[in-house]
Amino acid sequence: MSLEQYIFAAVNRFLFIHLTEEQVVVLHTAVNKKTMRNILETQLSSDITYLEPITGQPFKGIWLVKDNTLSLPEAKVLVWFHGTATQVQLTNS
Amino acid sequence: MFFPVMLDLYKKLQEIFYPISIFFLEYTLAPEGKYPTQLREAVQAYQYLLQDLNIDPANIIVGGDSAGGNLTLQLFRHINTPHPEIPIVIPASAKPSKCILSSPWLCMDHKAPSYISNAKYDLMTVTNLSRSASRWKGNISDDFTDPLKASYEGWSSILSPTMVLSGRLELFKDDIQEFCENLKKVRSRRRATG
Repeated sequence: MSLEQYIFAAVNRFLFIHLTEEQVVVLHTAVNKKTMRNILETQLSSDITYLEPITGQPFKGIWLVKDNTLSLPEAKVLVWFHGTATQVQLTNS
Repeated sequence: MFFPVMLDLYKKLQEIFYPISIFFLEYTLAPEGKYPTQLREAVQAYQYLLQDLNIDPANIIVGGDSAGGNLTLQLFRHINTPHPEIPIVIPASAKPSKCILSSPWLCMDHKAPSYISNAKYDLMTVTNLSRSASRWKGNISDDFTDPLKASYEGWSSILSPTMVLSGRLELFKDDIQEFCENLKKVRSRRRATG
């Protein structure tokens, strides 16, 4: 384990111990939103859409990366379920 | 932190499976959403991919990290044996082709030795894990909530080819190791009898 990893874990443990679960979610949301803004500002490819919310469904979800071949029969999808503290809230923002 | 990791994963997957899209479920967190709310949302989302977008299940990989790994196993179990509170039935033939479990949360008792030996390394604490588990499922413990306690004989028919990732200094390490050893036992027994 590197020193950087050790410090990262220690800081997070401190936060998890001293913040309420709601405060941790707010913190993660703020960090994630900042990261998302950076990603949106630096689109990597014109064939790909990033962070597209899914609407009109009984669940909330986003296409983190949406390839423009999604409608083709050979389209491949990775479905990812995050951990409890990683809240995205893009569909509400 | 999280999105750059996912984009890295995307780039690596793209090299193998190009083209690929990544779908991310924003499931309702506890205590607003109690068990099995998150499974219901996961099943709805999976059904959306199959029915609305006509994605071939042979081209779908389902995975998750931590609690998301637990939810991944819940979804696979539901496809095999539908949860009694969730009326949406997904046929077994529509099971995702592959499964990825990254540091999955497999048992909410938190009694394995690694919960103590790795406490000074992991970013989570047992207190917080127990509090989160309690807010999510109360006193309920079943094959969906605690997959490590479920009979491991059934996993061979429930799961697709699965990759499990774990860190040697994480709290979940021993639970993940036990889960993997159980899966290996089932697989070797099947080979011996089949």
